[in-house]
Amino acid sequence: MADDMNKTPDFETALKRLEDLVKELEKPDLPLEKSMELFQEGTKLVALCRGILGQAEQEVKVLLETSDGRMKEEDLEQDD
Amino acid sequence: MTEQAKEVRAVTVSQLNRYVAGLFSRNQALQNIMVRGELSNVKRYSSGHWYFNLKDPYAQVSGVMFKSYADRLKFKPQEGQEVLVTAQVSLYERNGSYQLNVRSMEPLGKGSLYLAYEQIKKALAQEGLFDPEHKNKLPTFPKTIGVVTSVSGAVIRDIIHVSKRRFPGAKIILYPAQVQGQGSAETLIRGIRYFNTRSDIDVLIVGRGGGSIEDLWSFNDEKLAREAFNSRIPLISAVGHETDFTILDFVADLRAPTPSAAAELALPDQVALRNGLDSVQKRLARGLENKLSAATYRLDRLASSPYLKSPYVRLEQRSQTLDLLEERLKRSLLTRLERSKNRFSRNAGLLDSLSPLKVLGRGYSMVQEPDSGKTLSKAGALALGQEIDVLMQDGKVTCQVRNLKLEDTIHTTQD
Repeated sequence: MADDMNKTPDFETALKRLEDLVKELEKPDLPLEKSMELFQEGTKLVALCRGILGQAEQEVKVLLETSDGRMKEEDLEQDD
Repeated sequence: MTEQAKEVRAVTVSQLNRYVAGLFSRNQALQNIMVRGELSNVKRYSSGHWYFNLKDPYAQVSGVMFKSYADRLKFKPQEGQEVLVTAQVSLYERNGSYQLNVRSMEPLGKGSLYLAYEQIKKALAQEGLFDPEHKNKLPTFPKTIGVVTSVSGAVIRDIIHVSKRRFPGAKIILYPAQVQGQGSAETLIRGIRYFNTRSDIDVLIVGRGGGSIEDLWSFNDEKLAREAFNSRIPLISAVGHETDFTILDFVADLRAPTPSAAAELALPDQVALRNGLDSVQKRLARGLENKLSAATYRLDRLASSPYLKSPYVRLEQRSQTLDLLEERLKRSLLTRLERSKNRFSRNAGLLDSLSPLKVLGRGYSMVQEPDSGKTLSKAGALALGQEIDVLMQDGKVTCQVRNLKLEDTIHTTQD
């Protein structure tokens, strides 16, 4: 699991992990040290999720066909 | 008139038919006439030409619709169908019959597009393309949304607008497609096909704004329906307004009543997600607080233990324990002594009550053999003249047996 933490999880994975964390943390017989670990991990994940939600600039691309027939993504001009 | 003269004036069949055909073609009214009637004997040849009869209850006329015109038909002519045709009336010289060269055909009653829509819908439904078991489930948190629509239309603007509000973290990629007119179905098909070649697209939205049935027509295209059906990526249709239904709506995994609704269906609501995160954060904090307060409580209890207060406490405690043990030892010894005493006096009392001396006190006597001191309890064991000791409460009397009398039968032994 420690290996997984190196890679930034996507929103769905983070949310799923958070649910598990909270459930684990609410178990009465969990040792304090482990609780601290879970709390720290959970706090990081909440921040990550908030970061994804807080993305002000939405990425909007439009596909253009290049001369060699491939598709290329370009920013879509937004007029509002 | 001679036979020869008659022959000279006669015309051949071909000449006649050509002549009549000429009459037909010079008549303006017959060049472009509208005829209504019921279709019968409808046949389509591999050439692409359609042959049929047009009839009413009293008469019929044969008709042909050549491929170039038939290709423009929006619906499939069917037996018994009431139609209105625009045709040129001509003579088919080969067999001398006249026919209608039909240029266009409209079903009467319902419009031809509507009829075509009904026909495609029925055929695809029968094939099972609309069956619920083929519907893909939409992802909960799509990272990338592929949109197939016009780059200039309202659809992409609506989708961007709603996405910004709901879930700005999702990326939107637009495949610019033609959404009406010739060739539009093909660009829509290419868009769906293109997105399916990518592995990073989580959901597709295919749509356009509202319009007439003609405007929406490419979304009723059968090939488009099949492409949408084969799409690996879950597909949302967003065509026209809430009341407009297209074939694509039936084959799509989800039909959105409007383009804005499509974005709402595709994306989670960040307000709800934020609330969810707030609650998760609270639970995390409360979970840890509970752990901490439980640990603090345990720590306090341990810290308040006298063992931890002073190192001598333990010694004091030990000596105190020792005192206590000593005390308890003493007490238990005393108790035991007391108990033994009690038992002794109880047993002594019992012994006393069982003593033969006690019995003698109540008026009984005991007979003993003088020498051995053996207790004699049976008269039958005695002999006349034998000396016996009789023990009484306060002394011993030596007697001689003078008479023996046994119970029941009394034996008297003569001297």
